[in-house]
Amino acid sequence: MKKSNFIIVLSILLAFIFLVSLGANKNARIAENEINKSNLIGHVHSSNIKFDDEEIFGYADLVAIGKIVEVSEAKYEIQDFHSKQLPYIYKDYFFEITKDLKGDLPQGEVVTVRVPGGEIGKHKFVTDSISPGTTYRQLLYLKEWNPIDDNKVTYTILGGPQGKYELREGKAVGFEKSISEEIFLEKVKGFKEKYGNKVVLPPGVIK
Amino acid sequence: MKTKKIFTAICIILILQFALVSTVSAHIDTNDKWSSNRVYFKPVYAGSDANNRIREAASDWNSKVPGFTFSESSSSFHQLGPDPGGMVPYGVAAATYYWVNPNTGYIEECDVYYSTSLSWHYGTSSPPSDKFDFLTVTKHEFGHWYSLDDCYESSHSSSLMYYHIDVGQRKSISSHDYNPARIMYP
Repeated sequence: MKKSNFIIVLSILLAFIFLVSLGANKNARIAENEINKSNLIGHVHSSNIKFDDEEIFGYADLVAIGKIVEVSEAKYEIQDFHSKQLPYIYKDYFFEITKDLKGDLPQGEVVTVRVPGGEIGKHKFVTDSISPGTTYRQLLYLKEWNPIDDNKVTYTILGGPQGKYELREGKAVGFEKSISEEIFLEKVKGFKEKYGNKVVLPPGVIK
Repeated sequence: MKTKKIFTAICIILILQFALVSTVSAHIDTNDKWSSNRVYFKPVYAGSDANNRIREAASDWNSKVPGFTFSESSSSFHQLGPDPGGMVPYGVAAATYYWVNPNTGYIEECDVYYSTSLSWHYGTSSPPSDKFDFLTVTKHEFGHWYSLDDCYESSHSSSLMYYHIDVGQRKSISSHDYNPARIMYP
């Protein structure tokens, strides 16, 4: 065999092995056909609504600067998912308010931000929900919401990543933008002057 | 000289293959998949318009990913319907919940819940500026049935799997959305 032909054959063989190896891991798992329904792994994907700065302020129940002072262990509640009853796992983040921008809560007040997701023993619940950061001060746009209905007042971060800004090194750092903290807060204060604590529904939102 | 050219060409091919797989993997949530290339779903809205848009979304995905089929079945427990309460937070249009057996990697349960806080457009025409397009959101949610992840790259903000949707916006399934699904279900 000519040297060039040998290289071609060898390369095709390597490419084939490379492609086959991509599926090998999955096939190995498929071969383990042991069903254990008690430890299903839950996944949640959410389609967020797009908000502009004014809309998210208007729709929020509470807009505040603060920091996370405590995070609970993962907790769960059994919920009915049509054909199965499965554990809905979540964590509570305790957010201490240092400056209230909407909602009129006093400085030092601690509110609960409930975030789906977590792991308890063999149960795992993977979500794309945004968790408050635990390192920096942050501004959160919050809406009262409780997936568990345990008679506690809890909040969710509005609009996924759109509802969280970390305040660090003089900047307000959001998911899609990073601007001067001073300019950002001036803008938010402008919305406060315009709307006060009133909840304003964005276009297409009915409640 | 000829050997060197061949070697260079082969290297380029292998690099392109690697780049393709890397790009695709970035949009696949996990290696979780269905045990069969056909999955049955059940629309559970009271109104026929919503259920028809669910069928239309499924049909559109079927045409884009020939290796996988969404089929409707009244006995399926994989349901798409309004949030009974507590499943869809404020600020979210819809949520897909799916459950995987870690021993097999197979998805065993999948449900979609739609927000009841929104004004929905259930029609076939383009949505008005004060309603959310039910068809677009349903196509996005079906994307998650392939275990496609939400896309957070602003350069792909017009793609179906981008993480947010605007009021009055209609999107279609692009190659950026369906290529990873085709890899999952060739």
